[in-house]
Amino acid sequence: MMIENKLLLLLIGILLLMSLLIALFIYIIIQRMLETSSLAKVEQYMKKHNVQLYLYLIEGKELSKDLIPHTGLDIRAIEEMLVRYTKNISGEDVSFRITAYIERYLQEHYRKQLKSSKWSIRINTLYKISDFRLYFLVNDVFEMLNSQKKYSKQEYFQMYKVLATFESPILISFLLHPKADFGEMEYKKLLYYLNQQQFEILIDQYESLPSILKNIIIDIVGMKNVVEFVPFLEKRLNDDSLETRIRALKSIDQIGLIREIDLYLPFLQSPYWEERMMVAKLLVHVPMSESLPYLQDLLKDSSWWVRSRAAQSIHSNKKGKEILESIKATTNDRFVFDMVQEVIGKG
Amino acid sequence: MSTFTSYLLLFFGGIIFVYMLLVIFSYSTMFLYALLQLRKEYKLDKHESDEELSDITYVKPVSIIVPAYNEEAGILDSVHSLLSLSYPQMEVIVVNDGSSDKTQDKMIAHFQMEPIQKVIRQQLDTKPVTAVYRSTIHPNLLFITKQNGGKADALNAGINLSKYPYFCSVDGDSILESTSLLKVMKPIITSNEEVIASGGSIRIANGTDIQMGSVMSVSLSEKSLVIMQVIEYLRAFLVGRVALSKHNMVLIISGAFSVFSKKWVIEAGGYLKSTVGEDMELVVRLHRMIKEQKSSNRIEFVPDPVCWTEAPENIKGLRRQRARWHRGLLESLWKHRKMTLNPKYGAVGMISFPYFWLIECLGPLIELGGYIYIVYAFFTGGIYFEFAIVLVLLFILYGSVFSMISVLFEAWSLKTYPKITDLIRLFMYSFTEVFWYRPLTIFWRCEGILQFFLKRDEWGHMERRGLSRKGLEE
Repeated sequence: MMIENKLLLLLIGILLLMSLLIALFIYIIIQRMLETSSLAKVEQYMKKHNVQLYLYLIEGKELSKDLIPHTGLDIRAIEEMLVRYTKNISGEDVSFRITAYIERYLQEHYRKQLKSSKWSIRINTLYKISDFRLYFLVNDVFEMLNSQKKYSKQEYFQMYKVLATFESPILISFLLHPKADFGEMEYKKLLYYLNQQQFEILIDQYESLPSILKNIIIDIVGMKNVVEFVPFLEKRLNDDSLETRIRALKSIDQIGLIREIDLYLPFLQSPYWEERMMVAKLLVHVPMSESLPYLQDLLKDSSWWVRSRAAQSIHSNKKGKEILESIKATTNDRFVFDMVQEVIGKG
Repeated sequence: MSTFTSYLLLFFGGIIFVYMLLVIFSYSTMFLYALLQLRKEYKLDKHESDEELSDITYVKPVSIIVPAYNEEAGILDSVHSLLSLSYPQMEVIVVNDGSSDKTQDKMIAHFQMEPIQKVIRQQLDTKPVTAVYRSTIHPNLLFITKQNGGKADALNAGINLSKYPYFCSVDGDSILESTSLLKVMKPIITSNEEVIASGGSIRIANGTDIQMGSVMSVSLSEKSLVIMQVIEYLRAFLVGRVALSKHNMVLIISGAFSVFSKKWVIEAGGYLKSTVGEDMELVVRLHRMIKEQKSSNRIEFVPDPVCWTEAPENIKGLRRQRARWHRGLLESLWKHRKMTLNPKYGAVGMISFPYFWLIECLGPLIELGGYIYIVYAFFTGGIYFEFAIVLVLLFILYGSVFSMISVLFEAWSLKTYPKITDLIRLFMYSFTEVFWYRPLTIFWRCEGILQFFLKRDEWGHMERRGLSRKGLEE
């Protein structure tokens, strides 16, 4: 009898669970149906107000009263339309009008959303601040950063990005004492937004920065292609860290300005193939008459990467192909021969 | 009946019972975890977070490797879809593994390939490469021909030729969206290269309309066999991947579409040629290396669907696929068995391995025992009869209820299937799983176990499976 009782209990339990699941399923299905119908309404709203919004944003006509949002669905529809405009149309006037519209009608809505208890809503709102350039919310973000409340790493990143988008001078101090443990890519994105002035401030404090930031600064200088920073990069060539030296070489190569070839000659003897390879690459920016002897040496290097780079550097010159042909004809080094062959073969 | 047999029966029943409880417990834990995770991302603007990535400055270049064996039918389409991926810096390397059909002629003619002289760094040992071609239309498309050596060998040859620090292995029958590569690279880029391998979530393509790299519409196939597989994939996704990935315990990232750090893979020795589950084996080996080097690197799983695959639509194809998968699983676990319950390997050794051994690998045997027990007990009656009913109920709980919950998750959060009728069909079918589909897959997986043992007897005479479309071979 004992077993039968327990059996009954188990049966009832499973039946209950099943009915619960079915009930949940029905609930979700109903929700999905409601969602579908509200999507249709949003679509309808968009169709109806498309022209008015166009007149306001593009033609600069007065804003129609119909465009003042009343319900959550209106807001969704308008947001959707604004997003499409920001993605597809660029123009000072248009983005100015978008910002003005939001300032007037959605400011409080977004402010409330920033304080939402839901992570996803806060994040979405932070995205919008950058996308729509909502300068009037920067202070709110600033308060969030200063508050005791703990946010997630993604949120902190997005907040910093807001500060970066608006070139806020406070960003630098936040960067020096970050609230989250950011990775290289996150820093790169943030620093990329800095204007030259802010960048100079950072470079002035270079020595006191954490090493992750140091390396990124070197990368970004290369990416931004600012010739004024070449002396700064040249100084880094004497750094103790191999990583730093390689990155500096890379950035100098990206900028493509070799002021003094002597600075780079010590790297020809570097014990690290990465450095030798970078020099082989850099030598492209020097007249062939000067660089050829070095490149010919590098062509015999023990590392495949260095040989390959050296051959490509020679090849990129106007007379490169001829030079390589003559090397190929005269060399008795099998490795040199193979490499030259491959590079010429590429055509 | 002798007392001995009755004790034996009781004993078996007990084992099955305890096993069931264990499975139900671990599934529930993982579902709970997935629930918390998905709730957090509920309503997150996915589009925004993807857009963040596409900026050229931050991505790492990737070599895509496509092993091909007698794929003349689909190879051109596959390559076209790869070339249309939106990714700033990549090359596509098609490795012709000694095909006997027109794969080579088609590739050379269609993409106007020309032979090039190329010095290949032989970092991984492979069967000899006979020629390297480069397309004159798409300079980032390479084609190499080599002697037949199997899929793992072809992948290794591709790795040797590749020039970028990351490579991506793609199955011939995978259908990708144009943002797939960006999405699957996301963990690597955002983790500051802490992540050394990452794989995407696989969905079933049957019934879905994908053109020019973008999904036009998703709808559910009419075939019950495919519908059951959809549910299975959903459940596997929720159970294993979401929870395990978070804690660096993923043992399976699908070979259909995943990215690896070349440096690590070369150090690990490349793909292993003596297993049918080379993708899983490599992941396990990488985990092992990470732990043995005491590094903090990770292997991750991307929850967004990035890759669509054609599921087998008939019993024969499915049976073959499942048997092979299971054999591959067993081979990987067996090869690295010393990681099991070894604290040196952290959570992978202490949690993932026992989980995969007990629930994924030996599960089918115990469940098969369970089904037999039930059938037997119904005929003998008595005390076994009641016990059998308990087992039936537990089977329903674990076979069907978890599938139903998976469909609930799909309807609530993942929303791959927009049509409400599709959802209702999925839900109905999930209820039936335990009565027909589950027993079938259990049989096939047990077959896989059998194959594992048979193969061990004839070691060295490994059948060349070739690379014909996964699971669709007739």
